[in-house]
Amino acid sequence: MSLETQAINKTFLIGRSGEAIRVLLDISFQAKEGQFISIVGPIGCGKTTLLRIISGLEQATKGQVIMDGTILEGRDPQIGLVFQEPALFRWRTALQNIEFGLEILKKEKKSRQAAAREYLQAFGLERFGDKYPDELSSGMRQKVAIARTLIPNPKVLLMDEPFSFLDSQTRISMQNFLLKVWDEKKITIIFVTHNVDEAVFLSDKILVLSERPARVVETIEIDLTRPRDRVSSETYAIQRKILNLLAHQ
Amino acid sequence: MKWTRFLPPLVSIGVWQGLSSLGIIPAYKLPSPVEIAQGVRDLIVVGMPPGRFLYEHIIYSLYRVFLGFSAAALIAIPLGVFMGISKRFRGIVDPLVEIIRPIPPLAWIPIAILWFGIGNGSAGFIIFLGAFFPILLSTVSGVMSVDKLLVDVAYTLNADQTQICIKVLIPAALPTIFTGMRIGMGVGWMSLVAAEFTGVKDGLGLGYMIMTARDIQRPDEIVAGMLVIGLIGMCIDFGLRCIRTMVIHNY
Repeated sequence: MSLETQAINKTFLIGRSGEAIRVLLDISFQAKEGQFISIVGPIGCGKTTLLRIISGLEQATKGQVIMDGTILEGRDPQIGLVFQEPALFRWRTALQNIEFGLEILKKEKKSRQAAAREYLQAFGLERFGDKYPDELSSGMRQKVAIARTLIPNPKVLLMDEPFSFLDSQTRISMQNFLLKVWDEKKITIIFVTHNVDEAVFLSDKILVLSERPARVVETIEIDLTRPRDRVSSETYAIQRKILNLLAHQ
Repeated sequence: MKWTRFLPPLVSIGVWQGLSSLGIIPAYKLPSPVEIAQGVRDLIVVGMPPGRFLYEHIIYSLYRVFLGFSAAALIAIPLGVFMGISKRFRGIVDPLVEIIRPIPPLAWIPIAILWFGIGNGSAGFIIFLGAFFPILLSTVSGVMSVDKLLVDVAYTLNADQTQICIKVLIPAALPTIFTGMRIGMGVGWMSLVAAEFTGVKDGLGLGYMIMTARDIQRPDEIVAGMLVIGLIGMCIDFGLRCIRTMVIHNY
């Protein structure tokens, strides 16, 4: 599905004095169906808030989120969100964590377990279905979290710096893995990161945000062929451009 | 388990027995371990008062504890969950809880007897009061301290309020709730004996047994009774910990 935001503004009122803090300033962008969009910006600029608004966890002060031409009121079940931390339910095994989304939809136990097993298989975790989150590595935990978000088949997948806690080896393999999933599922992905090379490697389009209050500094379309070279001169040129934009605000 | 663990209690009992045998500890103040063991035997075989055997006292006491404790858990856990979820509800109920909570369960005995008469009802009520507040407070704090992120996760997986409560808040708070239940059980068990001191209609119960032993001056059976209370309390706590492990891993 396509997703669009129109002039989203968010102002938080802080403390008793009700001091207003502007976080987002007229954020507009468009994601076509099946597009991979990254949002980069300085830490603390409001990227997470933007995803929380799109997912319905937070309300915009002004502006709207539009999905396939319909203005969203509150939460749309077709939008999934992967958080920065895996945030697994520690009393559930990996399999039961993945199952959660189907349990909510009151799917029968057998079918939801079968579906969760398929994800374990596809994510290379078949031997870890009965393990509790504490017993998994951080990469595995994030994979379980991604599977848990994907299992109800969302049409739009929001990801909030999902790989930021991983070491660079695991991060690279998770990026490749994510592209594979994206390619198979044909879903629209909106990916927040502060890591510029990650954004350039993954995305069709990059939104560069400014310091708080965040506004869109520039939108960069990337039409490099996939699979991409992480270290080609074209890649570097785009990275340099984004880094310059981020540095000169 | 290492055998050295048993060394300190064994040495203490040995020293105690020695001091008693030498007449340094007078038997009418504290019976020797051997006498206490005989006391336990008498409680089992002869009964106190004779004809009312130890196992009957235990069954009656356990029954009262079961009554009071399950009533406390059944009311305190749902109430605690609501208080944990709703700040408004907590605001309404909290002042009431904070006034009643500091009143020791034993201070309720006279009014409990007025309300329920002498018997299981009043004893059960005293245990209820002892167990209720630890369970309530730990449930509230358990629910309140659930990571907000987990609630967000469930919400973005399309869970509604009820599902979030049943599938996220309660299981996440369960370890804390169980700690409260263990404390509540301890306080309940402690209050039980005192509640039985004041009299029970059917003449059965460990507290009643100890008081009877005092009336006819059998310190060995008094201490034997105390020992039994301690051992059963320990067993109940062990049982609760087993249930806890089972429940938490099978939720």
